Amino acid sequence: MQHLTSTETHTDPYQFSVFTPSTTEPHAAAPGLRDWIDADIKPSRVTIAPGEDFAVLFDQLHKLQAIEIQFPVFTDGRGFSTARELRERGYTGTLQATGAFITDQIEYLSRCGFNAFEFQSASHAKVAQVRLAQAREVYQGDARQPLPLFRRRISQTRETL
Amino acid sequence: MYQYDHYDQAIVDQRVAQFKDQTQRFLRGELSADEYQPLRLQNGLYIQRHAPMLRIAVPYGMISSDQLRAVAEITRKYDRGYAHISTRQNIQINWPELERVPDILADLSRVQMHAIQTSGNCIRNITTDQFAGVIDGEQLDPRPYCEILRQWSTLHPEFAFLPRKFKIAISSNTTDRAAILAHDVGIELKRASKGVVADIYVGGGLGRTPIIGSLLKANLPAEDLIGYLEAVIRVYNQFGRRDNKYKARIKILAKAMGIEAFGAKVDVQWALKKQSDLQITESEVERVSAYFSAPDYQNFDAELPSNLQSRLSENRLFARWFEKNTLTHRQPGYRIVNVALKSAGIAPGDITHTQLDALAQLADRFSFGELRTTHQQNIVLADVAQNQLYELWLALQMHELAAPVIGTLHDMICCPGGDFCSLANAKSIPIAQAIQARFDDLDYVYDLGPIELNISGCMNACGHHHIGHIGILGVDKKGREFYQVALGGRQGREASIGKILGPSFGAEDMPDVIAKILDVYVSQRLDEETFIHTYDRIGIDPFKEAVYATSH
Ligand code: HEM
Ligand code: SF4
Repeated sequence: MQHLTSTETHTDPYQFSVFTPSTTEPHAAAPGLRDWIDADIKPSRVTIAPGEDFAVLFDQLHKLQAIEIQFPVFTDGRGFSTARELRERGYTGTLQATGAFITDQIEYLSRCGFNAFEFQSASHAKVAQVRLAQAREVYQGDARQPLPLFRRRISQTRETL
Repeated sequence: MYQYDHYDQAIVDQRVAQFKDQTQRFLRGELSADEYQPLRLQNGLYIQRHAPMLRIAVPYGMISSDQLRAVAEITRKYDRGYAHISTRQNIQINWPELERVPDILADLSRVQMHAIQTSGNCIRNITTDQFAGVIDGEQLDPRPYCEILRQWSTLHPEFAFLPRKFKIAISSNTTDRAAILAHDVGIELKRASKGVVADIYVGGGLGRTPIIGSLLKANLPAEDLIGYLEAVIRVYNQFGRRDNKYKARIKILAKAMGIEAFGAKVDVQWALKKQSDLQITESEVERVSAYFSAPDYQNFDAELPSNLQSRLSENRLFARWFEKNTLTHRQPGYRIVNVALKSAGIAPGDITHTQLDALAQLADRFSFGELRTTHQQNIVLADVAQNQLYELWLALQMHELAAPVIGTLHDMICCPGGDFCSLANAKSIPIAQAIQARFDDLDYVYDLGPIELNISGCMNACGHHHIGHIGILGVDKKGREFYQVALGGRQGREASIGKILGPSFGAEDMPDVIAKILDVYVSQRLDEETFIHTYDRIGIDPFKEAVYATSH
């Protein structure tokens, strides 16, 4: 397995950093949400599957170091909302996408607050890394750039359009 | 209308480059068909019965003459010389080659057009009243908000892989021409003492399970529209069904949860977004509104000029067209002109490249270079001076664009059906044509008054058959094409779903069936009563009796 993890520690949840790929062995999978809830001593990592009610985590977010969000198939977009909600609620730790997401989704994933990705192959990780390095103009505020375009736009006068 | 600045252009250009790359990877086998599918759909590219179909976005129906010319050129260069206006105000071409679609998108981007999110499980083109800004009864011009929401929804990172497609319509008029109650979210904008506010309706839609939308939130300050919509769509994204695509629309979720419980979940999300950077700024509303200010109208009297009056009394054809196809304009001395794409022998909504070019030129000459596409699959020239109407009409006639049939039986809505669409149970275009041919006596058609006849080739209801006064649905019976007829549906504020008349009919019987239905109306109507009002008064039974009496 390939991991692509943000190398910067960040205080602002909507700061996104440069990625460097590493070929380290996969770390032990984070416990599932059920196991996490049942544990007496709460682990600092947890995995959320689509459809799971993760509201129990809200008052523990500052204690969590890593949250993994699963994508059973790439067309299941629930993980995008889960990630963004966690960031909106102030979670600043590692947010990792795992499962069947595809590299064509990498910008959307990072814009929703993911800063770590687990890939099946080095070539995918490489493609994703290149994509993430590209600067893009976007309309919405996001994890990388909190202001929507309408708050950033430097208006040209109509005559110059 | 709105003009791109370098930011808007950059966003579209990036998408063109990205899609080109995706298509090349697909063609090289680096992207599987399953992976490519949602990516191409988010760019308006369907693979249908004979060839791909490309749906080009016409944001809230506004299109400039230059853009229309570019579409005409594209139909010549890459397709078969014609285009189709869809019921959601977009433009479709039916025969592009997959390999060349990236080039089509590049051509479109040069005139500030694209195909972004015209299909796929994402937020689709936002639609509105085709007469926005020029018609009476409007509280405010909805188009600046349409544009602001277009920008917000374009390539939104959170909402590109929803359970199903998501359609938003906006109206701000006492007459709802945008069918806001038949959309996933319908927005009604109003002026209040504290500024512009919005009523938000949720969970309307047609398809297999037609449902009329319910009021979710009244009097939302308009600056909160983005934040509130994000909350609604997040709840849908998290909780909408993904196991069955026919139960995946927000209407099913809102019904299953109940509107109250759904609203409670929305409020939880809304609390996270209130008072945030998502709030639409006044300066943005001003910036965007400036693009929709009134054109340089001349000062005219409201009175019909005398030369127009004499033309009207001399020329019956012109007078018919004036009466049926033009509407009172808010600005004295101007009229709104509808161009019906419903001539006999063509598929409703189809338009040739020469007609597209001609309309572009006529828009430049007579209507400030702008046009609108409509949900009835027609085109509007919104700002024509009354004293130029005759000249315009002569030119429209030359191009067979003057069919005086707006609002009549001929002005049908019809989906592409079995001739093009791989999901179809039955053909729909030939049914529309057979009905037009059967009722070719326009005096009879006028005497029938306003009638909305809508045809879909299957349950997906692209032709809005549920909300037609007369709705026709193609069904498959043991491999043969049959048609189910429903009566009493309607759009607008009193939107309702039609009632099924009874067992379905073969294609060859359809003109007769419609004739019998119309005969009942003509014999039973009181004074000036319209079809739908007669139906409301007498109910479905007399129609049933007449239609099934002989065929049994
Ligand atoms: C030929 C290719 C087409 C295909 C494969 C297609 C497919 C579909 C499908 C599967 C649905 C049902 C979606 C659902 O229930 O969630 C649908 C709905 C719809 N389609 Fe199409 N369609 C096509 C062409 C068109 C055209 C040409 C129009 C406009 C004239 C159109 C307008 C609509 C509309 C308005 C709906 C709305 C139903 C709703 O929102 O509830 N479609 N289409
Ligand atoms: S209603 Fe059915 S047949 Fe008609 S276009 Fe839609 S999916 Fe195709």
